Amino acid sequence: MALRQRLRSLIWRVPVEVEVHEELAHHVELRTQELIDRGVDPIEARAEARRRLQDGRIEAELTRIGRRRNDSWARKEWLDELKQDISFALRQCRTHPGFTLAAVLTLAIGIGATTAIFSVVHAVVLKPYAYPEPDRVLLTYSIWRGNRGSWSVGNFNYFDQRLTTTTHFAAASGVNLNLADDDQPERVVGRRVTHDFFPLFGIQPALGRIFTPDEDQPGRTNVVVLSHRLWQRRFNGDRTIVGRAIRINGESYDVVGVMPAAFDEIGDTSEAWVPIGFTPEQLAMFDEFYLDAYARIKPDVSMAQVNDEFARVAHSLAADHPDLNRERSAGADLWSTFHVGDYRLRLFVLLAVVGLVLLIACGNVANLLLARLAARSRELAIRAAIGAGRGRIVRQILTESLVLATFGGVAGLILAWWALPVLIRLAPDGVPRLTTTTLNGPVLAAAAALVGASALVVGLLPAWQVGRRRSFTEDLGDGKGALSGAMKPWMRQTLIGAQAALVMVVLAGAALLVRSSINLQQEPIGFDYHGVLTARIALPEAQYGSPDAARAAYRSVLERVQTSPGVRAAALDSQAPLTPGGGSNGLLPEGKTVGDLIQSTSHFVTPQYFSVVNTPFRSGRAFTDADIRQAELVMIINETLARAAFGSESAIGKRISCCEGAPGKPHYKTVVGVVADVKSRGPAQPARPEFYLPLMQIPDVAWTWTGRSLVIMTRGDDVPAMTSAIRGAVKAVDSTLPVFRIWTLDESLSRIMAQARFNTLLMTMLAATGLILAALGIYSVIAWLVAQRTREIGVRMALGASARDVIGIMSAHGVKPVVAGLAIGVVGALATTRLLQNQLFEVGPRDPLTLAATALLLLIVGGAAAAIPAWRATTIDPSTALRE
Amino acid sequence: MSRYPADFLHGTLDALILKILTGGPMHGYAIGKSIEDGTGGALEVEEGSLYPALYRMEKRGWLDAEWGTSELGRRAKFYRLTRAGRQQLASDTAAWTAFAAAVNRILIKA
Repeated sequence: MALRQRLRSLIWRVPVEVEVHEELAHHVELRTQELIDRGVDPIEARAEARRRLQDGRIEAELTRIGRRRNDSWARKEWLDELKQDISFALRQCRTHPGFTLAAVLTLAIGIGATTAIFSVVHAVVLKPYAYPEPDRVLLTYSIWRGNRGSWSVGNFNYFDQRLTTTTHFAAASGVNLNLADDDQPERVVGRRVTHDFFPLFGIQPALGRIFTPDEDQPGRTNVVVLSHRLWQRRFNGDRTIVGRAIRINGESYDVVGVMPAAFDEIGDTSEAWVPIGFTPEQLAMFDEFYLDAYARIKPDVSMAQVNDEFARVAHSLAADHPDLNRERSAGADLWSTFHVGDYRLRLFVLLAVVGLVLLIACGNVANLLLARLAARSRELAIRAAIGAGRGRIVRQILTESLVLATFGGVAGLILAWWALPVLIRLAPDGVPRLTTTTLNGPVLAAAAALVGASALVVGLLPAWQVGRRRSFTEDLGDGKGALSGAMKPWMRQTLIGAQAALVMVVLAGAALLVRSSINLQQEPIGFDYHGVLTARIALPEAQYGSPDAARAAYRSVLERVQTSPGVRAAALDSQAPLTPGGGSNGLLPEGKTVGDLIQSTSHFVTPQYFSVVNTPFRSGRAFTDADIRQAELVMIINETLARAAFGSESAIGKRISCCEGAPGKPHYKTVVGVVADVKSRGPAQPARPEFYLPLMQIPDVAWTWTGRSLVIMTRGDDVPAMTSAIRGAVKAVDSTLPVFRIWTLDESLSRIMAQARFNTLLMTMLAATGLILAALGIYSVIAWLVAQRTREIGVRMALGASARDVIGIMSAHGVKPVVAGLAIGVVGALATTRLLQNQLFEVGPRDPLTLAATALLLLIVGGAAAAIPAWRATTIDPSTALRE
Repeated sequence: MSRYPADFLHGTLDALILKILTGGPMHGYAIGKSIEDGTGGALEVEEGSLYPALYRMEKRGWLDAEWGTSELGRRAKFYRLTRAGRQQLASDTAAWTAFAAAVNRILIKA
């Protein structure tokens, strides 16, 4: 029925205007005749019949309806054809399972990998932050000599009283919270905040309340707001927790509220918040820069206006309090931008690379499809002969590629769904919002777009190949006719050339990362970190507020650890190398002016420290037990600091002021030793100026700087024994003290390198996938060419051509486009590898050796992929070949 | 011209056309005439109702049209019932019967 109707409308279709006009003319004719038969005057009758058509209004209406009718027929026809094409494509898939499997798997790898990476990019970079109007929440900073830094309390307060472009301005400062409700002491990373902190982000508490303005007053600060994570983990989601008191740092705190899970994703990793409660003395302190400050700006205010106001207020601050603020300004950035940081660039580079791999995969499938079409030239010719237009055949081919891409997309989604958790688990710590990655709506939409794009890329060349043919009649013969002949190798060679170019770019990037990785591995750290265990403890202010109590506790812990089995040497350090945390001080060598302050990393250590880490001494001596507060104040510095302070002169015996005293009243320490530089932030970071003070000589105020938190370091061979030695010693001194970050320095180093290692691993995997796909593509093209020319090869060999000649001639068809693609790929790599700049270590983004090695690898793999099918051609018996 | 207001016809015209066409293909004028004759002249279908109805029913797939030669020896568009049209007629007839019976139950009793 449907077919008959379609055929008829095809044959009888006339323009709607003609159809309507003729039909109505016929009607008028008959009506006139009827009226005449009833005795009406013929002229009168015709006029009456015409009048009944209402002056052409009916004709116009019919034309309109007729047009809509034709449109709806056209749509239906199009859908019918699509259904036919799809069912034909599905039949093709069933009858050629090998081809289908190869194409679908190839596309699944490409689409799956791209979807997985896109879902990460979406979660980390693209997804809006979970708080309202994220484009108004800023991280603010104070700027000193071009460097961004934290705020002092005085400066924060000064700004807080003057800012007019913000609705909220809040300060926060990290704090160790020792939770010791029951017998399980736990150290939790928390923050002390001003009451504006929560309203600034605009997220309501899930339970209870947030801080009130009067809890900003000192003395009212024993209240705590819990994060959703901590509430679930430690309190099992108990809703009655609000209003109860818990013990934190040895004091009682009332739980006033619990934040919702959404607040865990704003970029604050804290698990609990307590009021910061500035005292009047603190509010008057303009040095000690340790506060983070956030702002929410008014709706009608631009970033430029905010930064203008910050600069203006900073200017008046410098005028009012010149001592510390003369060279200081202030500014602000979007919090989300700061939080995502350079992951934005890294992830987009990764996405681009995985997109290139998808393109390579599409190239392979296009190649397979071209070969399939050559084999089907007879069928296509028959279709053309029974009236299918070229457009119709092109559409049919695009439908086939869409069906393949859809299968590939579904399989790819399954692949992504399976691979994502693995990817997230392998990924290094600290990638913001990574764990929120899911295959959600936007990701599925992106996957659908990838399917469509892949179908186009795959189908375009084959469709164009068929579409530009004017006649198919030659193909009606034996199926080896004109279309298969016209399927000139150049098209497939272009494809493998393009693949080679893409692979070259990806491989070059991966090779640069691998070289960086090797360079990082080989970079000396500057000390013997194997066999060193570190563990941190923090003494709460309530019991250990007096430096004497802290000193006594640490001395007692250290004595116990030192005498424990498995511990060869033990020491304390305010900041162990390769581990997070620590502070720095401005150092002033004797005879220099205040402008020459050298910002240096501080280490407050016990005498054994240098034998635990085995740092080589360049000159001078280590600390001894005789270096007490009452003796001469001494200091050990690293080479970088020695150079910065004294140039080429010997540093021993020189004096440096630091850590106490006031501007104009220096407080000198004598340099007694110079130690070798240590890459204390990992091999990729250059050594910075560092200095060491004997723990027993530090001023009392330094105990508050460090939060009375120190690292216990032990050297030995038996990690479990050292771990229990530390745990046991701490427990014996104070059973409520949690021991945290128990890591060997090997682990710490590998944590620092995790990011680079992960990127290198991903890039290498992607590059390997691309290389394998491209090799398969080259192999299949040469194998196809060989099959096409079996007879010719037979003739050549019968006439005396050697196997070598044949391999040379045939593999040249693959090697030539690879070389051409390689040249283009090298240009592409030169243009793009600088995007990796910030991930490279001691290798330039255009390193010629790396590029040459990459090109060579590609050439060898490409050559082998071309030579294997060519070699197989030479094993054909000439007499068999000639009979074909 | 009609002796009943157009509203009366509305909704039943489609069913009448379908019924008429069960007798075989017809052109538009003949369909109008058949309705008129079949109702003893009680219903006269205006061109402004008949042809739009035919075009719409064609669009819905109830009718098929093809060009043929009429009694005048001229090219004319002949309508025929499709399978969908037949099904539509059956359901229209059932609906009309039920409706008429319901209306009659009130009107006739009174």
